[in-house]
Amino acid sequence: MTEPLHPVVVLRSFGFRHVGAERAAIEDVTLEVGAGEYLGVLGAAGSGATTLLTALDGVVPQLVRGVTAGSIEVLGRDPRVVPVREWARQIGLVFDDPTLAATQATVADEVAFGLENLSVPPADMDMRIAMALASVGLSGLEARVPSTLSGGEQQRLSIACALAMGPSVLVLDGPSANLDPAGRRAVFGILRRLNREHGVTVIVADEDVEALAADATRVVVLLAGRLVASGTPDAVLGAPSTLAGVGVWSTDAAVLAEALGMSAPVPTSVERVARGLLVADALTLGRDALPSARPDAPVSPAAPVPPGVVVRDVTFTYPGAPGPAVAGVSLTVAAGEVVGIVGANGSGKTTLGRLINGLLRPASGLISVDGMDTVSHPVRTLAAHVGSVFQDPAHQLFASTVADELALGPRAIGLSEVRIGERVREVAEALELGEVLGRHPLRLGRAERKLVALGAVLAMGPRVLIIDEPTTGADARLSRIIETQVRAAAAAGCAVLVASHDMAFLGRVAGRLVVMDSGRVLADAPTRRVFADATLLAAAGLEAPAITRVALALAQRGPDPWPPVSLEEALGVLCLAGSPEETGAQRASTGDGAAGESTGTPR
Amino acid sequence: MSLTAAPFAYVPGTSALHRLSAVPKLVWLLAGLVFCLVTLHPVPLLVVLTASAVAAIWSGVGGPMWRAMRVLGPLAASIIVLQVAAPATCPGGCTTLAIAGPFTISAEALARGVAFVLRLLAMASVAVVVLVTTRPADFFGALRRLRVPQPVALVLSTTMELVPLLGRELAIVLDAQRARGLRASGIRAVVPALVPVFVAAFERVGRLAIAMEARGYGAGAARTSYRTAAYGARERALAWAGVVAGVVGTVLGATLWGAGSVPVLVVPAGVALVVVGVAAASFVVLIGSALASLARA
Repeated sequence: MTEPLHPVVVLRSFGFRHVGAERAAIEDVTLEVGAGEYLGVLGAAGSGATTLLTALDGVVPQLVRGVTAGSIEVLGRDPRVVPVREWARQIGLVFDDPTLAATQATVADEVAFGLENLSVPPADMDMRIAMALASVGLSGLEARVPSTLSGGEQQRLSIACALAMGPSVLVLDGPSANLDPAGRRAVFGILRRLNREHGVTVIVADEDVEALAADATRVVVLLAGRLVASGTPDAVLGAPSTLAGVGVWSTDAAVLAEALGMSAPVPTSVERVARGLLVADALTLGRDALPSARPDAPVSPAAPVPPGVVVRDVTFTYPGAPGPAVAGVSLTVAAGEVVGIVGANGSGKTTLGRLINGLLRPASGLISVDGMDTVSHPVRTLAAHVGSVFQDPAHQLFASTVADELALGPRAIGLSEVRIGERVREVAEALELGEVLGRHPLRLGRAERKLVALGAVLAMGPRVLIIDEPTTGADARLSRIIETQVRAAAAAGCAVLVASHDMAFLGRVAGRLVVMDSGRVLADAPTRRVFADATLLAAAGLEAPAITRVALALAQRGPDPWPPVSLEEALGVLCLAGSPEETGAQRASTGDGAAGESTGTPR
Repeated sequence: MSLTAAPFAYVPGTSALHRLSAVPKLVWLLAGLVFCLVTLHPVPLLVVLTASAVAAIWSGVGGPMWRAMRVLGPLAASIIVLQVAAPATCPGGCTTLAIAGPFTISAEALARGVAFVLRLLAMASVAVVVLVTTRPADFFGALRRLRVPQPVALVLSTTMELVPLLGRELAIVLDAQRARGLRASGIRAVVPALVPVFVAAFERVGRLAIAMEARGYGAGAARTSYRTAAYGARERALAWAGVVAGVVGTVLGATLWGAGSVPVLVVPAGVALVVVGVAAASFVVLIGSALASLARA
């Protein structure tokens, strides 16, 4: 790569500490970003990426108060001094929550909002709006109401809003959070094109390591506010175990490549890992047999145990909506089973969850939960049996400490104080919440709140668990805790439903997937079979996890059953010939999540 | 997420009122509100109410207007009930129309109750017509043009955008409470729910404010508008006409149609009982159903 001519961003020992915070959010960051670069920013929860990005147009420290250290210069000016609103022309800022740019009456008005602020003559607006919408593929939606767009469309709209103002730099903080796989692809496709064809400097922090590995010209890694690595994606992400030491998960393909013993730096994309394995020509298939899909628990008429959830031909339409949100849906979840609900944004996943926990009543059809039908039992009674974790955990946390929050449910169902104390201790230990028991739940980060919300529900010992997007914003550690808890709940006989876009997570925990599209069930099949069905995935706007795609690239039809759906499974059936022992040992260490030493990070 | 918006939220449209600059609309809104505040005579209030209703229908927002007025039903009913229940003070002695148990319904009290209700409805109707036909973002430009200081204009116009948000948040949190199995009924459900509602709403408001400012919001008086007409001679004339109408109306209202001018109509006891009875019944039913809907957990 050639040395960038005009640095767009120059940070020298830059730091920031929030008002009243004990430690700095970012500290001693020295970084230069050249014009035309595409910089990926990686870091675990609380790494300071948001602070770093929002400092670039002065949001930090002008709107988010605190003390800065060192120096910062963007396009030759100091963003600590130049008012935030004056940066809009030069820097487009896009957030993880696309609804922040879905406040106006129509899509065209939404884009116009920024132009109005810049005093653009109304006569010029239509053309600029049309160009901005065209560049994100939203032409023709000018008259739609932004809040009715899908999450992916909304995020493309917020990029269009930024583009219309003609910035030379785009700064995006978690643009793909909350998006379905198709929405993610579209967003990253746009960023890539803007960067490669239009020379826009792109600076993006996101959990989608795979996209950053493919598109970024450089990545930097933040750990607790400090810059611990910087380099090409291949160099930084090609050392997965080193990266795991700083709390960042490399691409699943790279993790697989490393675990199989490919030499460092390992390739990071599905295609290159697969090609590398094929070229090595030393790959053994079928060392172990994959477990055949977990069969549905037998539901014979004679069985005395009722299945956890039975949904029969359920239809539901929101008042005033043009069509049903859920149409003719039937499914069964047996006790002890984990079922994933997948589908594009707006396909009816959340509505289905709210029907099952009784918050919504089906217009027709029947839902029975732990043997009780949801129509004749009040939500409060159902709540003792059905635990729901909402998409936004802030909505379901009411107590003033985490400990009280965990005790709230058990108290509501009338357990003794002794039993309540036991429950709280158990749950706090299992979810690693011991250190924050005395804190206010709403003072925690978003991902940790989700953990508290999950704990509060688990403390009631539910027979049915419904979790909406458990891993959004979760780093490797939180993701592992949630995975363990979901498994444990199922092992204890709980019927678990997980609505999620995180296919890698579902590959690890769900035995079966219900694929939804426009309120209907498109497929209800073992996870393995869904991930192997390219036509089905494309129809539902989904994508198999990277591990599965590597395996499919190696052998479209491997030994039946095929393909593996998690790293663990892949390591069981793939290995480089000649090093079976080594592979086994590495499998054990990788399975733990954060393996490897954290010393000697690439810089 | 609930699809219901606040009854006074902006409804997109292309009517003349929609396209009119927000400046004259704000001036006329202010004039209308002040006029209604000094006036208690039912006839001019009815005229204002009719005028806004006609304007709403003509602008294609009759439906939203009707829904907004319906929301005021319980309040209107309670005003009549309270006016009648409170012992009336009449300088020249009260005219008793009917006696219902412990309550004495006097003509003066009934007249005042009806007048207060008309005032409420007239004020609300003016406000709704303006709010429903004006994009919230346009208020900021208008307020700045009226020389309202920038921070004040920013706070006022952002509030317009954010009020509907609180209602949506409350609905989600009450749902979450029910799903957690917490004993929730009536006001006891709402109070703990307010903490997460406000935390979530404030968080969102904070983020929204940052996002809006990062898009250049609040830069200055020169904000242009994509939809509405520019502020030209015609709009200026309309705004000044609003100022004149406001001043003249206020003087007339205060001198001719003030509190002392409310005509006391002596109606038969049956009519008075029916009016108060209907008000009392709808008051009880509406309050009851509001509590019941909160308690339905």
